[in-house]
Amino acid sequence: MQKAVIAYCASDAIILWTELVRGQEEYWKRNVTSVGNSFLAFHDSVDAWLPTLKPFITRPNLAQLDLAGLVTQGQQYLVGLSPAQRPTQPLGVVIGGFDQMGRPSLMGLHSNRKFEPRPFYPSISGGLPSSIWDYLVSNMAHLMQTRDDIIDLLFLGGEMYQRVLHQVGMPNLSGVGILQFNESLKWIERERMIDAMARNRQRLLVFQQRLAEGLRQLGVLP
Amino acid sequence: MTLALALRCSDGLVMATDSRITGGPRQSADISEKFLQVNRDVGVMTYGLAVPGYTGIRKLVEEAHRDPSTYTTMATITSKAQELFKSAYEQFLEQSRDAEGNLPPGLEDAIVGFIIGGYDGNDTAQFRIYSSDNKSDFQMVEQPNIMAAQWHLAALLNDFLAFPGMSVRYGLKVAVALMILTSVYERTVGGPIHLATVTIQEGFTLLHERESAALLEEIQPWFSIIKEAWMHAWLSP
Repeated sequence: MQKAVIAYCASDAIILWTELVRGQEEYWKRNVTSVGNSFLAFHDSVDAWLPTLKPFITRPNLAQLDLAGLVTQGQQYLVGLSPAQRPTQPLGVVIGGFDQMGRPSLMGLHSNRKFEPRPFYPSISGGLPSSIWDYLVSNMAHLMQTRDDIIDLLFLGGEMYQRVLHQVGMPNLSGVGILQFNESLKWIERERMIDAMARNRQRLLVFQQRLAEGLRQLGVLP
Repeated sequence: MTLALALRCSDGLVMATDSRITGGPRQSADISEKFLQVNRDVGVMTYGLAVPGYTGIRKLVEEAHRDPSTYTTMATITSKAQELFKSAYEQFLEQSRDAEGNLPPGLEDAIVGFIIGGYDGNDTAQFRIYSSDNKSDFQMVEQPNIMAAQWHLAALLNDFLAFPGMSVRYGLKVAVALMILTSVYERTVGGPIHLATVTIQEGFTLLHERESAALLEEIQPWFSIIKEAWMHAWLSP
């Protein structure tokens, strides 16, 4: 089952929206593992890769690594897997953290590119086409003023994908985490998620109304 | 990859595609062959791999012209189309193999698809739209609207712009808007837009470039209306 991830780099934090994966162990409650001041967000065919990833994410030194170290070790581990250890299904990893200047940074590894590290851009994956997210960001990015604005935008993105693809888990199957400098990833409470979705419902109503008014004034709609 | 659309309207169909073509060892540069008329009331278009796409739609048109009395209903046209599209694709794969029988990397995963739209006057008296592609073994699937290839943003915006009972005239504007907006965010979509309508009065009609250009000019205000609507919506709560 594909799992999707959308990540947004604010000036001082990374905000991550992800579909959740159910699991029996604590670190698999989501497809995201918090590692020191970084995180690893797995996407695409996460279920198939679970047993293979476990030895890596349970390494005791992982939390001591900085972003660059995490990327390097992650790549080495994945590339070093034997064919028998490596599922045929695709896997992506988004590694979020702070670079040496303290700036939030997102790096991606993907099996389709032999896990060669690249900046995670456009900041969306897991089988989600980037065009919808790019469209929303280009129309709304200049209006982002608060953390709640970014959280709302991520949920709006999730809702738009749900409309189009009918397979993205909303709302009970998604979560938003915030990573700030020198802190571990924190998941926002369910109430905050519900508030974000309520605001977005209002926004979509207003959008539809304003669009219809505008087209009516143009004489296009009766 | 391209964007291909077929929209159902109250008085007919609108079909649209861009001009970008996808590679393959012998990709065609003749983009006029992306969209062809099968008979008075039916049109066909292709997206994805250019060579099997163009071959498939050309063979369908040749067959329909060779024996027009047989292909008078959508059922007979789509049945033959499935066979011809599959044959064109298989032939293309064979011709693409190297001396060892291997296909170029990525070719087996590439998509070639077709959309057939028309008025089924001799059978069901309805406007009908079908899609078919290599991933589903060219099975003909009927749908109310079809958006194919890089369709996601177009599907989202269509949700906001289209409405049941819209006219062909309005549907043409929606199609142009979807094409333009998708091309901004998908680099594989672009170039001149090819448009066609199917109506009872006129049958299948390809629009001239001048008409497409006039539509594009007419919908310019739509883009700022959409952008302002998003801004007002975002600031509303």
